[in-house]
Amino acid sequence: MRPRKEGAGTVAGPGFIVGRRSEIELLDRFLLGEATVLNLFGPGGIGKTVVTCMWQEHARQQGVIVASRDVAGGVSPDVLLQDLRDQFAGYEGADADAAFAEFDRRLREHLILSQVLQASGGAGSFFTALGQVKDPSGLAAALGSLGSAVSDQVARRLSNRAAFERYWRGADRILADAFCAGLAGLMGRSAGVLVLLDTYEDAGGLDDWVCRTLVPALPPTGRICLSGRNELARMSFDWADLDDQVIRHPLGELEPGEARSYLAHYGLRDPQGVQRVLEVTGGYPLLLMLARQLARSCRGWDSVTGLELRDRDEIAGQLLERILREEPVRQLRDLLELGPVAPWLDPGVVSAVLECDAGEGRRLYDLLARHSFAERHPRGLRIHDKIRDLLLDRLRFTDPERYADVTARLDAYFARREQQAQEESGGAV
Amino acid sequence: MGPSEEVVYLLARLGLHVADDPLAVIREWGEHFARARQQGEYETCRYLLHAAKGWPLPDHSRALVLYSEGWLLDRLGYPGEAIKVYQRSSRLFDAAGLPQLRSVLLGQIGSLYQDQRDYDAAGSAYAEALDAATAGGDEHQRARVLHNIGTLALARGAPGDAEAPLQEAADVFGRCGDTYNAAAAKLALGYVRESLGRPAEAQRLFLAALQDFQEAGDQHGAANAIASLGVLELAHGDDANAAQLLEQALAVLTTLEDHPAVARTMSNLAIVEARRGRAQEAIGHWTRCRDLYLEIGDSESADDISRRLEEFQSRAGG
Repeated sequence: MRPRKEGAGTVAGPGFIVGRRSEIELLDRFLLGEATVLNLFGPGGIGKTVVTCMWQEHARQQGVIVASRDVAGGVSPDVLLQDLRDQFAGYEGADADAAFAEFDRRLREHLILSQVLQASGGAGSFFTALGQVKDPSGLAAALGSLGSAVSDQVARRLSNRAAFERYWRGADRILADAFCAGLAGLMGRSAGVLVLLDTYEDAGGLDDWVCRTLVPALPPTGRICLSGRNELARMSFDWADLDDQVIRHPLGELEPGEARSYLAHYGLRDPQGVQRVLEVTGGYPLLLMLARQLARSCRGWDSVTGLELRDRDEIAGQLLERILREEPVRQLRDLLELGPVAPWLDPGVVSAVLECDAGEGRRLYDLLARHSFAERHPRGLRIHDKIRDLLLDRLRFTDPERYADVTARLDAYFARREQQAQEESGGAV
Repeated sequence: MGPSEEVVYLLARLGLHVADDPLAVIREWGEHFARARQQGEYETCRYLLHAAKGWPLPDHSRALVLYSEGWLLDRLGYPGEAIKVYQRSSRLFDAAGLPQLRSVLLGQIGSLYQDQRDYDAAGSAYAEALDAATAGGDEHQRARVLHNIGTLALARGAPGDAEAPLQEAADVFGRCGDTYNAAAAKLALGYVRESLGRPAEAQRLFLAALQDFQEAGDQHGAANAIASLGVLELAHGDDANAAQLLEQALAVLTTLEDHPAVARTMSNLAIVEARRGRAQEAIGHWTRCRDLYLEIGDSESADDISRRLEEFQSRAGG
């Protein structure tokens, strides 16, 4: 079976790749083993996407049918399943149309129901208080225009609010079951099926569905890899129930050769300099990244010396301390120290954290957006998870009063926004 | 569609305090969850659940979150999943050293078995729940289980066996000032009196239950009480009044997505409309009722409604 051509929805390959042989071996064991889920996790920038791409390619070479998706920004179950199913269609020799016939029918029904409902402005405007269709002749015309695609079942669901709501609540499950039945049909002709989801820390509500619906429905040799910043158990305690089905793999240290390649990529090639930095960082990705940031702040790798080499978190703490000290913009330094208390940062949150006016909040937010510790968040920016944890611990234990002050200011700010939103919507949660 | 802005800020605010004071956070979270569920805002309930599951909570707080989820799954018509979630919740309460909550969860699990018409499993769960409540000396919880035992007897067609436990439950709830559960017990006692051919007593109890539910701000309970009054009027032959009450209940039950109750109410409305000679309306209600039973997987009830529909159509045609 030949691999499909690369599609738009797949995980994009990165430009810079180092090593990771042990992860390939891990994938081989996973594909042959009993576990259903492989959870790759680690802080941002340490190469999870690289490994995910390598897994994708390696699995294809082993004759496994593969589909992948970056879930950054969030995606709904129906959109995800449609995308994955489209990727399977590209495999030569796999009769995806036959395997997914039922799924395709279910998805078509689902899309028609969504379309009709969206066009009418939602269930509230489509049905009367007693659950009947407000405009039966309009509905008949709309369904007529869709022709034979509309099954009796779709028409029945649309004629009755209760039946419709009932379907709507369970649609994600119906689609997942049909999709997994399709996977089972595909697998008869291959060495297995593998789905890879990257940037899984952004999965949001999708995670509930993956954990509770998709994974339990997977056929026996169906496998799923979830790559993200957080270990699954930190995303939801529901994952604890599937513990025996999950292989947890923190993306660990780079081999010495791989770490050297990393430093060379960022401009450090002098063997003595490399040795000096590696004494501090080892192959630990977070420390390598912090060392790189410190070198950038101080305009040189010589600054990465003179640290007390105890455990990694302490080394990371010392590197962070120096980075903050070297930060040329005083208020950005304050923001890096205090901002981790907030779940996300936008200009309003920045103003609340630093007690500054809106203009200054905006200016600092824009500055932070260019900092390597910041990354995008659906509502603005956030500080990289692991760095955020370290900075937060540092603040809580070294300056508890300041930590309490920032927490109180943010509490008041969020309460005010909550109140405003409530007044605008005219109700209460 | 994502969560509303107020839910986003609420969760951001609660998240600030989870590490320092998880108990206070989960208490406030629970208040918001209860309010959202009372108002039928189930999507909000889902967002609240999703957020809480990502917080670093101790076992007893996780157990409470799961208890809330079990309730949501039950309301949305997934009894099998709800039972599993309640069982997980029960294990966590045990692990947290709070076995007294075991009786509450067994009561909920029994009521789900009862909804699925697995009366033997429901009876066993209630018996275990009653033992646990009695052993713990918790009179209020014992009354809740007695209420469950009474409704099971009703479901089994033995109203005579239901009366004593329901009356005892209603008395205890009244003494404790638990308006909501007192209303639920009065409603169930009303069904008992109706089944025993004492409609005037039934009506008095339904009206009292309605007043209590309205006082407690519970739309779902109030709608059930109104539907019960409608059924009583139907039995009396006051079709106009019955139709008005049943339509009022149906509107609320539809919004709250209590699908089995919606189907029952539609079926009763169909009977009223048929008697009033409004054939098209009756056929419409029965058809929607049958479709809903099919959607919720209750084929036995769907077949029953189909038979009624066919009989009515052949009579109307003849």
